[in-house]
Amino acid sequence: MAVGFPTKVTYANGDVFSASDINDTNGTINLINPSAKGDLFAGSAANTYTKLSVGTNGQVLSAASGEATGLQWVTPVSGGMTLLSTTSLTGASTTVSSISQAYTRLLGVIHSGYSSAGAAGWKMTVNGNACSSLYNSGTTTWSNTDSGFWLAYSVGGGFTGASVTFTIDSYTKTDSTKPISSFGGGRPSTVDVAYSASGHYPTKATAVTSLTFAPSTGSWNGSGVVLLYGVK
Amino acid sequence: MTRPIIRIHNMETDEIIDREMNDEEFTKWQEEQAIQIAADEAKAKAEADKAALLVRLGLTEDELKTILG
Repeated sequence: MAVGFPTKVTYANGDVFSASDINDTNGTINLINPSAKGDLFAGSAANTYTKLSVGTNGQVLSAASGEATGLQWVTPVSGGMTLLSTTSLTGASTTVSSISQAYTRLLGVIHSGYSSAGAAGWKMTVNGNACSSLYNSGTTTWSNTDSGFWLAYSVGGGFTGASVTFTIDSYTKTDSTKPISSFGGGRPSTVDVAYSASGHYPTKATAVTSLTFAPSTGSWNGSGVVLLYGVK
Repeated sequence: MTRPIIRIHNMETDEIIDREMNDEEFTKWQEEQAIQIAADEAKAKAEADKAALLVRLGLTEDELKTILG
């Protein structure tokens, strides 16, 4: 339904508008009254508007030069990664809570992380509970169920100035454990340390809704940031 | 004595709260710190003992791996 607007006219002082002027025969506000919920009116040419009916639930409006209006309702492509939060690490621990449940897995990045008092490593607690870790730093491997998942560790202390990436799969599931992995590196003293770990959050019946990040001893010094992404 | 500060970032509301630990959190944190310090020391000692033993045996870590391989 093409709805044309009147050609622009220059009016003069004293001009009087009649009802027909206002209702117009060639398309005015009356004619662009929406006929259904969600109707949009999009320009299809100069001085011409065309009604664009709403798409289906979940669709988004996208530019489409081949369409009469240059617009099209499309279903978003599934997949991809969305930045959910950016949180500065401070204090003895930093918690990210009320995590969106709209994704398949979580991916986190800690960068510029520094902890005071020469902490040996960084731990992540899930929903305030313990996790198991099999972790490897340098040439040594440890395994335990601890007060948190070991995101990073350096024997002898001082795992600072490092970057760590971690993932938590199936974090919304309420019938399975949630696998966790991390890898990273830093230069805690005079040597570079490569680090990797795997483990899981063992509680099957509970989805992951909060993550707490803490140095194993002492506090964050405030310069680090944790980025949390949702992955479809 | 002031207690350690903790930060809570609510993703839903984007509200950030910085506050001191409450009694329960502080007690748990103190216990975990003590356990962690002891564990770190034990691991460091084990590493040092291993390094000292290798020196006594005249072996490098790579050579030990080859033997155990």
